[in-house]
Amino acid sequence: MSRRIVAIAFSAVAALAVLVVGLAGARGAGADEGGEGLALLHRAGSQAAKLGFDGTVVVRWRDGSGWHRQSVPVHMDDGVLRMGDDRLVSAGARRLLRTDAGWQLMWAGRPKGSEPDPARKYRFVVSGPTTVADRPAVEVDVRRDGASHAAERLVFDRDTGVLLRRDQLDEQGRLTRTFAFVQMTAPVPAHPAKPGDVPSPTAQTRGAAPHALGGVPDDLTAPKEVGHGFELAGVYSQPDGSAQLYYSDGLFGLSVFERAGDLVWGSLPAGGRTEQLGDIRVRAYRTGAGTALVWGSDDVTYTCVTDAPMSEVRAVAEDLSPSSSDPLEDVGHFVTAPFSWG
Amino acid sequence: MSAERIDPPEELLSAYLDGEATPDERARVEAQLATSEEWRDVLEELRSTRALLLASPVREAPTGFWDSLLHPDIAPPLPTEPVRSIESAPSRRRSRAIAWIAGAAAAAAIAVVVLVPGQSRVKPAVATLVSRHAVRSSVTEDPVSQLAPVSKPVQLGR
Repeated sequence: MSRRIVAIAFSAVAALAVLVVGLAGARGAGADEGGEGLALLHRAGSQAAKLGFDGTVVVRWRDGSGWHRQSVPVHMDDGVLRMGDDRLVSAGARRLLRTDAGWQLMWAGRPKGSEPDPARKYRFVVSGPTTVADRPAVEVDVRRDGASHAAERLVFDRDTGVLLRRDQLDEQGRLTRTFAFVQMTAPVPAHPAKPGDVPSPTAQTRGAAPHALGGVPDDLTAPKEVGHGFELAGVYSQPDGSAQLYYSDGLFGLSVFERAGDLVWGSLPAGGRTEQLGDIRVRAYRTGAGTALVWGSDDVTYTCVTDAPMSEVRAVAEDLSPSSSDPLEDVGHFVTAPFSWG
Repeated sequence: MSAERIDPPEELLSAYLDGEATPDERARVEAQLATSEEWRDVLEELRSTRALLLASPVREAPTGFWDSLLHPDIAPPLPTEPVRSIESAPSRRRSRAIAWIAGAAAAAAIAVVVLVPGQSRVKPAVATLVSRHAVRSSVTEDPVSQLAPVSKPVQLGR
C-alpha cells in the first residue's frame, strides 16, 4: 500500500516536472530577454575590428519619392576600417574623412558617459537561422514591450558575430531602411600586435573634431531624458558652434544639435518636407543614415538626427519644445524667409 | 607652418548650384564645403540671391518696345507720358517729396537692420550634422552599419 502511494507521488512529481520543463521550453523558443539576442547585439560593435575581410554593403532607404540605394565597399584590415572608396576611415575611436584639404579628424576618443541597457525597453527574440552574403547567420527581432511589430530585425554572422544586416521598420511594420552585406570574403583574424595604417589629419583639418563638454551652455537646454527613455549620454561642442546632445535608449542613438539663434528657414537645403509634429513646425529630411528634423523654438535652433522610428522622434521633439508654436512667429518666418541672408 | 587658404570662387560655386559643375569640380567643392565655413557662407549667399532673383516677378515689355529697339526707323512711337499742364506741377513736386520720404524710411529701416545688434541667425548644415551624428553613434554602436550611409555625400530626401 505504502509502496503504491510512493509510486503515485513519484509519478505526479515527474509529470509536474515535465510540465514545467515543457512550459519553460516553449517560452525559451520565442522570447530571449537578456539572452542570446541581446548578447549578440552587445558583441557586434567590437567584432568587426577583430577581423580582416573585404565586402560590399548596400544601404536602402525610403522617403516621399520612393526607395534609394547606396552601395559601399568595405575593407577591414588589422583594426582599421576603410569605407566608400577610402573616403572614411575608422580605427579604434578615431574617425577620419578624406577631403581635398587632407584627412579631417571627425572624432577622437572614447565617450565617457554610459548608455542605458536596451533590455529596459526592448525584447530580443531569436527568430531563427538564415543566410546573408552566403554567410550562415542568426536573425533577432527587436520589439518594444507591448508593440505588435518589431522595431528592428538584426542579423548576425553565426561564426564571427559581425552584424550582417539591419532592417528598420515603422509603426505599421513596413520596412523603412535597411543595411546589409551583399558580399563578404571569408573573415580572417586580425593581428592585434600590428595595427593597420591610420591616416594623419592635416593641421588645417585637425580642429574639425568635436570635444566633450562638462556641462551644457547656459542658453541651451539638455534634459537628462527625452522621449521614450532616451538618456543623455554625452554633450559635445561642434566646430560650427553648436552643442551636440547625444541621447541613447540602448538600441538607437539620437543627436540634438542646439545653437542659440533664430533658424533661417530660407537657408535650409532643398529636399525636405515641412511637417507638423504636435505644436512644432519642422522641416524633415529622410537620409540613408536616418531622419533629420530641423526647427526653431525660443531663440534656439534644433537639428535632431536619429535612426530611431518617427514615433520616437516625435516624442523627443515635443519634449524639447513643449510650446514652440507662436502663430505670429510663424507668419514672420513665412514673410521673411525669402530675405534671410543673415 | 600654416596651411594654404583657398578663397571660394563664386563662378565655380554658381556652376555647382546650377548643376553645371563637372564631377571633379563637384568633388572639389564638396570637399571644401565640408571643411570651410567661409565656402558654405558664400554658397548660401549665392543660393539666397538666386532664390530671390527667381522669385522676382517677370514683366512684359510695353507694346512696341522691342520693335522700337530693333527697327527704330519703322516702329511706331512708344507711348509717352501725357503733356502736363502748369497746374499739375505742384502734384509732381508732392510725389517727389513722397519719394524722398519713402527713400529715407527705407534707408532708416536698412540702418536699423544692419546696425542694431539682434539675435544671431542660424543656418544649420543639415547634411554635415547627419554625418556628425553617424560618426558619434559609430563609436558606441556597430561602426560598419553606422558609417556606411555617410561614407558618401549625404543625400537629403523628403
